[in-house]
Amino acid sequence: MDISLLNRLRTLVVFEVDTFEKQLGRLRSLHYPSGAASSLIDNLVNELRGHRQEINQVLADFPDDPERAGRALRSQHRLLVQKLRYLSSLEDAETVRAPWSLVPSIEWLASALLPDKPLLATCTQSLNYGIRWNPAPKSAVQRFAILELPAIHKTNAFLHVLVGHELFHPILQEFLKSRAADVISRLRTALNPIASQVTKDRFDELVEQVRYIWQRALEELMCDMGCAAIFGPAAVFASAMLHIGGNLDEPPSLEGSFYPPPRYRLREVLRYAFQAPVDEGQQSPDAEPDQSDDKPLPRLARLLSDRGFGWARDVLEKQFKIIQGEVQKQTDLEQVNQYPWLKLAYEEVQGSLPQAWDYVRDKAQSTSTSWLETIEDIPKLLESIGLLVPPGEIRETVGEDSSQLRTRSPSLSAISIAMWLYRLREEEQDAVKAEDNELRRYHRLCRLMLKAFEDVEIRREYDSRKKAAPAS
Amino acid sequence: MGVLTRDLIWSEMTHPKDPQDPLIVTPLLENSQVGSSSVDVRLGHQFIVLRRAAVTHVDATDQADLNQQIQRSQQKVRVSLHQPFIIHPGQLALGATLEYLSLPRRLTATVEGRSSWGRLGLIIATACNVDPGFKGCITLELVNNGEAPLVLYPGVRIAQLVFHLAEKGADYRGKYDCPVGPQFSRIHEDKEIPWWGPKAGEWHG
Repeated sequence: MDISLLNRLRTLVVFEVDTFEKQLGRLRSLHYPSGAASSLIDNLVNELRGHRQEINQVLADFPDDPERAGRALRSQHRLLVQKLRYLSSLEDAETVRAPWSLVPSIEWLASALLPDKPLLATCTQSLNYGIRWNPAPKSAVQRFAILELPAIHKTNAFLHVLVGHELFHPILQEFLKSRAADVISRLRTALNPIASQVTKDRFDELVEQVRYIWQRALEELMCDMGCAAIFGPAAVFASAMLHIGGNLDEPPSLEGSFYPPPRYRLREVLRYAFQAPVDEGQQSPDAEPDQSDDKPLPRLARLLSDRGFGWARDVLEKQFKIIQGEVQKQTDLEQVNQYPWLKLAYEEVQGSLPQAWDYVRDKAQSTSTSWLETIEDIPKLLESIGLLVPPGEIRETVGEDSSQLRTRSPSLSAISIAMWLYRLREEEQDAVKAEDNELRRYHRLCRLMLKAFEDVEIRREYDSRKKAAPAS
Repeated sequence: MGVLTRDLIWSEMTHPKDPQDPLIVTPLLENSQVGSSSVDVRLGHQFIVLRRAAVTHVDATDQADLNQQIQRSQQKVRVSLHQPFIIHPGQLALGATLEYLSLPRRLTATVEGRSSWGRLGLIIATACNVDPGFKGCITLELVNNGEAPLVLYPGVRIAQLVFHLAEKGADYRGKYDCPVGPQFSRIHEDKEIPWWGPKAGEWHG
């Protein structure tokens, strides 16, 4: 390469390092809702120092061997470009942009599910939730997972239950990898009849594409199930709210990143996470609800009823019946079955689901994040919400003649489920009365929910510091 | 209209006369917050500060511009746990209690700054009466009247709530709907205020 171009490359890389450092200095001065951003900045600064040293060494060698120095500079440039996305993530993690009262709770949940991955929660101008992580991190910076929430829904606390879905993505890679070889083997057998009609490369490509469709579907379904294992019915209500704006039968496609049809996703979550009847003819819409206590939904319904919240039981049963009615239609499967490759991939998905559910359920149970562990708190929280009080605290009377209070934090899932049940009742009432202040009431509940999450984290922090403090 | 003492405050919280309308102060991190005749409340995370450079003046009678003036001149700030919020001499900042208050219809409350902060020059609340039936975090008008900048931290005990029995039950009909942080002034919603201004605007009563 001509020396003048190499000189220009040198300027480019030095400029980038310099600007990167300045940007980090500016980002450090911003307010963030937790220490995650500062920790990421510290790590970036450390790594940038390493880049600076490497570049200085290369520049020192530049006059002797410009070609070799050019290669080294290009390598540094590539590494720097990879780090650029962290700058925009840090911008998006600023307190004014992120749902700050929820961020510590999200981080707590992430630390339980992904103990080796620090998490940075951000809000981006996208309509979807997402997570980015490096499956094989080689540095402290690469260990960070970046969670993305849709900025337009920043204060829509009801939807944020869906972070449970995102946090499962990094967990599942091991499971998916362990199943892939068997799936590929079966796919090759199933696709064998066409093997003689195409070249070997084309055949391998086809197997890989069907395997990819299988993996995308199973991964999304497992994340849905994981979210349901943590947040119970709230996960289903939030998921339905997100999907209802689109086509429930949208078949997997390249343009749609091979996402499974929303109706299919809801169906399998109901089948596995709630053991609800979801197939055609399994249960008529008018059938009496299942009363067996070993299944999660009847257990919650019974609890609500026993504690005097018959209205909440009715809401729960009615809403699930509505969703069951939707998923029994199977119009999504008709779409999938029209395409032989999709059909084949989804047959593999069906075969993987029992083990997939066991895997995510065990993960939720082993990290004490399962919604069923704190189901008893839900009626107590409904009492608070009914009084328009944030459900961030369980109050129980103690002492002689019960004259004082003992207070403790509820779980995130109990808060979410109680808030959703209350909201759905309001939604039903609003639909009947056609109230024009519906949005005001929705905002009010979002505020109460976010305040509840905030209070839970304050107590967690307060109690841990108090426990650590030396006795006076 | 007597002041509620410790036992009565606990009684209102644990065995209210009307179970559908209890006194709730949440989160109550320590039972010791309930004192002999008051409840200590803590400083919340959110503040509203004035951006002096962004506004020429505030005229409450000029309804057309007032809301915009208030929004433009005030900035919301959120301070994390263990992070400082510094209030300079002469500065006004709106804060809020960390605790959310649900006040029964039969009680009223007054907010009183803790004297230990007052002795450092911090004035805590000026509009200190809380109406029966109010639900929400209480906005605190913080003014540093001292000589030195003061460092505040979310969570510190900042004020006290003193409760009184209301003669007759009342329902809160105020402008603030279950706030969970400090609220901008809504003086522009006062129906008669334009009439008193130089333009003698329309009375919306």
